[in-house]
Amino acid sequence: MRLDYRHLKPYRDYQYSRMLGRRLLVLKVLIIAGFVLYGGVFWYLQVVQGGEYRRKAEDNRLRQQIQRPVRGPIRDNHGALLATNRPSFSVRLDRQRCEDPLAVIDALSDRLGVDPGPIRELYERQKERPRFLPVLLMPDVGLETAARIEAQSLELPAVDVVVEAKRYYPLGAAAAHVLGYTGEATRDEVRRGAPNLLPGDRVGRIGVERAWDDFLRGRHGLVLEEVNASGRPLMVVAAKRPVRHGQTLTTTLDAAMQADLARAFGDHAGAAVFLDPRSGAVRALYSAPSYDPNLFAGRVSSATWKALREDPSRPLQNRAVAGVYSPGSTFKLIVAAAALEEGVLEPGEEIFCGGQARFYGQVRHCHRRWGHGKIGLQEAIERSCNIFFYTLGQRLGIEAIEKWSRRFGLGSATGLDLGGEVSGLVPSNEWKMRTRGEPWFPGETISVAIGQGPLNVTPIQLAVQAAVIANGGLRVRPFLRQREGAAPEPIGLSPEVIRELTRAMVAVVQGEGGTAHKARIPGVVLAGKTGTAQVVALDAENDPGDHALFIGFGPLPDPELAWAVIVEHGGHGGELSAPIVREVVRGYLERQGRLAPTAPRQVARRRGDDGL
Amino acid sequence: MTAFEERTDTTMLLQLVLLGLISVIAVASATHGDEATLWTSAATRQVIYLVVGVVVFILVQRVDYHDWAELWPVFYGAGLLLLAVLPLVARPISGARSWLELGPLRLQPSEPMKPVVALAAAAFACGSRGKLSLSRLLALGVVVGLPMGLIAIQPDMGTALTFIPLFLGVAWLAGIRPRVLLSLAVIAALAAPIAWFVVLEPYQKERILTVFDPGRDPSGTGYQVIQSRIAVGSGGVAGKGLFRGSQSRLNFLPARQTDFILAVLAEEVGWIGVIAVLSLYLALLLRTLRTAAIAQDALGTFLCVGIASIWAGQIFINVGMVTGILPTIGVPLPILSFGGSSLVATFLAFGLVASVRLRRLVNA
Repeated sequence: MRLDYRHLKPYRDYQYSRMLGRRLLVLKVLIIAGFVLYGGVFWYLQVVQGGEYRRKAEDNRLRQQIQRPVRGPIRDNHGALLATNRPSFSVRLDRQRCEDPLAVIDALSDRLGVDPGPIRELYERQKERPRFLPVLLMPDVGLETAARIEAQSLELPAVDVVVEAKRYYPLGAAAAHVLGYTGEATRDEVRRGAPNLLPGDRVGRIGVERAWDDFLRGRHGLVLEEVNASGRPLMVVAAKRPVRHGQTLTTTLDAAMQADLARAFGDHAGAAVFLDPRSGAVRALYSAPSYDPNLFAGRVSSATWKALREDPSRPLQNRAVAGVYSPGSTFKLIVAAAALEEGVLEPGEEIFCGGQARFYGQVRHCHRRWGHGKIGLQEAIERSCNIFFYTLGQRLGIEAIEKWSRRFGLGSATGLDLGGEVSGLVPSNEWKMRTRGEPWFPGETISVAIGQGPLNVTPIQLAVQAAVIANGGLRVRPFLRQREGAAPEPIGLSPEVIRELTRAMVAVVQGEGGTAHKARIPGVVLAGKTGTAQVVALDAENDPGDHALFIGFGPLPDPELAWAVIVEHGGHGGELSAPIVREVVRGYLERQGRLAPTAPRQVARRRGDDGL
Repeated sequence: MTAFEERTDTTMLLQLVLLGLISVIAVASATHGDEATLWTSAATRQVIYLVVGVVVFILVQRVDYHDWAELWPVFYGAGLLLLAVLPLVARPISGARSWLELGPLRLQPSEPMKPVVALAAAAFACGSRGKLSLSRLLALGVVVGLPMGLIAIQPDMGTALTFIPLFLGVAWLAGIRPRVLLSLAVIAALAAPIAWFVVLEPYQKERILTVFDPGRDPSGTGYQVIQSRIAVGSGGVAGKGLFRGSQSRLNFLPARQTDFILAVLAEEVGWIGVIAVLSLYLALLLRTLRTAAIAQDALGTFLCVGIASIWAGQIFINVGMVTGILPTIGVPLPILSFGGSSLVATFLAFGLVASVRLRRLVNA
């Protein structure tokens, strides 16, 4: 079939022309219909559903970016920093600027002379993240390393050093328990703390960091950023909520005293609280053994955490508020006060101590086998005569002892703004019925009168007890944040009784043969009472020794400090605990220029290195 | 009338150039922020293609379409040969051996093949005089089907599919009886399951399913459709303004300067802009159909209808893709989508239409 296209005849066939015209019209209608249809589709998408799609486009385009607040610093009452934020340098790799990350890692470790293994391992864990996100290679390197990397930035173009704020505690282990530490919020905390808490935020875990977390933490800000399809932020569109940084928390603590206290404690376990008896302001609060809270500034390795948790000496426990001890002879002060106030002991009355006596059919001994002879309250406190106080206990009965114990602040939490406080135990008939299902036997009162039996106290409670006597009979509520103090409560002690107790307590420190003579500082008058809390040995050979207690206040006549010190397994009374107080008080007075300075020294000898 | 106007269909040229200028702006917006100098940027290249297209258009329409038609076996044969050897010599680019690389130039032979096949089909069918015999229908099927098959095995399903409207349009004009058309439809319907289970690749099936449920794989197959719809829909009535479409500017929309250029426009100039662009296309197609109606002979009529069919089909498929009512099969929007082969082939095709129009009067 061959057509001569040049001489194709024009249309002459009318029928054919009409058919072509009809069919062309059909095509024309189809095409117009198609365009009209599409015009409608666009109308539907752009006008009817336009708002919805605009929202989706905004969702694509905008991302909320969190601006984390800087945690507020913690200061002592002189303004010294107890917790602050230090710059932490971390080394990061921008994969968008390098071909082969592993080669860069090798080059980096080569230049720094470090093992590439851990860096590679860290890289492997993050390499699935979007490429525009930098990869962390070395967390928290020193300033020196950071400077070396910066100096070689031309050779390592994809490696950056980034500065972040990390929590730093200048006192380290010396103030670990009272200040606490922070940790990354758990999923549960984030859920409960929403919307003010986001994943990755750090919250106070224990101590002041936890108690005043809301105050210190601040609140994160939110900014709206424009991002491209791969998630890279391009610009800030709007600040949705300004970031509010944490506030400075000024505490009642005295950094120097805290450091002195920790140093004086040496390697011993135990706890101590120093507070201002006039207000209840806590000046120092220490628990031993301690740990370095700076370990918790970043991510804690699970090995470190496990070691701390499983350490049998329980370094994570704050013994100052959560350690329960038997008060031992320090309790005799309360029994004495109760006896005078209840009128069961006449002022100046003497009681005979023959070294032993029978109470409710049971023979009890004094610690001095041949007895103290006829002995008055003053001497009984100074020499810690048991027979004298057994007698007072017998006269008072458990109810009066309970009443006065509670007035002095035992048996319930002191209300310190730290948390984690336990209430201890003051026994009563009601308590015994509840827990043992049988009434209190008068014979049991005898043990309680010398601070033994079912009687548990915490160091902070003992410090409050000392403060009551020091400030003339007011029970203070201890506090750590400046301006948190509550009005002290009079407990109903007459000035004569306070004078009587104070005189006896001065003799304990200052007197010839006083049990706390090791706390003595020439030219300073302190008052105190030692105690020995018996620790029941599991077997005779491994007797760990009794706990040594020392509570008191000073310097007289207007005490500025009241304290309680417990040295676990510290032997008898003031042997190890009194020198700790001496060092702390001396340091306090020296800093104020009220005492000529002497070289500080460690008081409690290290266990096992006597030769040094 | 100036001499130029006498020898040029200026109205059609104006329509084409207008679309070309819109394309340059749209491509510039879509590639805004890409790393390129002024001379290597996509918009500059599109301008160059546009100039080439205009020259091709003017030259093609000056030659009598009867002369072009006489040469159809040469073009058709050369085109078939090129398509046949393409799989042997071409390097696969995004999975298809569709491009012929000559130094820095990259040609897509399937694009100029469109007007060539339209010419061949017109030459082949114009003598039917309203009675299309089965043998002639089958022959027409072979003429269109051969290049279509070669393109399909590249594989470039999108371009191959645009030959179906050509076949239908030309067959319709040649007088195919509605009964036969219906039979073809039935055969196609019966063949569909076979195609589904035998011919189609899994990714192609995914794309078809995505039309009915774009959310089935939002970050995979569905991503293109979802992002395109967001771009289109968020444009609203008046658009976000040129160069200010976030979907395009922030790279959310893939293939934005090529197959999905209309989504960029829809986002930035809104419904009003889209209607303006669609109206231009409609005007171009209606002018082509008008030319078919006033052509001096059947060859001219068939040629215009063939070209109108291909390009209308291509526009419908592309717009369907962009709005998500048709599967994503990789069909560019004529002239608007960035790309030289497609643009020049379009100008060439409408140059043929203009050639028909200029010679509509027998005694001219």
